Amino acid sequence: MIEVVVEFIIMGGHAYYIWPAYIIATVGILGLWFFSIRELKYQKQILANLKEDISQKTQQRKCN
Amino acid sequence: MFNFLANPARFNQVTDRLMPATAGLAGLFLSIGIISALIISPPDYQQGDTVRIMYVHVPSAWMALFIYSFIAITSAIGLIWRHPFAHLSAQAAAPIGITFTILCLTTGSLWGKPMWGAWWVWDARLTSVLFLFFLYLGFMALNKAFDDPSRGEKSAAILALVGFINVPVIKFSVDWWNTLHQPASLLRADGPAIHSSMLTPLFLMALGFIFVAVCVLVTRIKVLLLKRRIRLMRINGGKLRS
Repeated sequence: MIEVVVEFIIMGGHAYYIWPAYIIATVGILGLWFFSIRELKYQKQILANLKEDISQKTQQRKCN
Repeated sequence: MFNFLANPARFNQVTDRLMPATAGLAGLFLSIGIISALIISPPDYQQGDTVRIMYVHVPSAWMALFIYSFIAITSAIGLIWRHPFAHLSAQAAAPIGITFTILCLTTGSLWGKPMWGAWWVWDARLTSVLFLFFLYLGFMALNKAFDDPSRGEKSAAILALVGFINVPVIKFSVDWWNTLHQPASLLRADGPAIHSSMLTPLFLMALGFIFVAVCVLVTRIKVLLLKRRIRLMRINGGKLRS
């Protein structure tokens, strides 16, 4: 069983090339997705703050 | 299609409904694809296990070309019909395209070293893909190069259209010039030269990449729509204050 796992990890002696290729692809794709979602949340927060700011200023004007 | 989705509220409504299914399909295809690529598919009779790099390298290359074509088409729509949503879609797609181009170049390099004995060679296919990378960079830089966003969008759109000539050059570079890179194995007149045991994981990974790209594209379009809305609110707020 261990031999099969070791053989799989070694990848016929080409593990140095195969595993980095898969790691780079996974990091690249997940990173792209993660940063896009984070940016969306950030922009939503800015919009919410801006709306609050505008509504406060409108109320102040009405009071004045 | 553009007219239907150009309304931000409608776009958000449609994509919010489709997003969970699209993300689920991306995860499903990628999970099955990786298992098939690393465990089920056989090693190549000449390349051995290094052929497994193909399952991330080839779909990345397809996506890099497909997304650039999408950018060129949406840029043309933006220039001809002056549709702001078209420019926005192109702008949102560029970071996705450049990521897949980088993945294509790096995984290709990792495949090239054990097969050719070199990380990089200046052959027609590799050089034209490197040129694609610079086109993406130029497109993204031009979009942000002007104070007036519409001028940046137009300049970037023109670059995208001019650069589209590189797409057929990449595809046919292996036929037009003597290259170290292997010729086409799938899109050939006499059918694919790859056995189904390798073709299945390749298509599964490609489908996974497509669904991921759609999810990221939708998210990035939403980001740009929000940025535009925030910019307009700030301009209008500024006018009110003055």
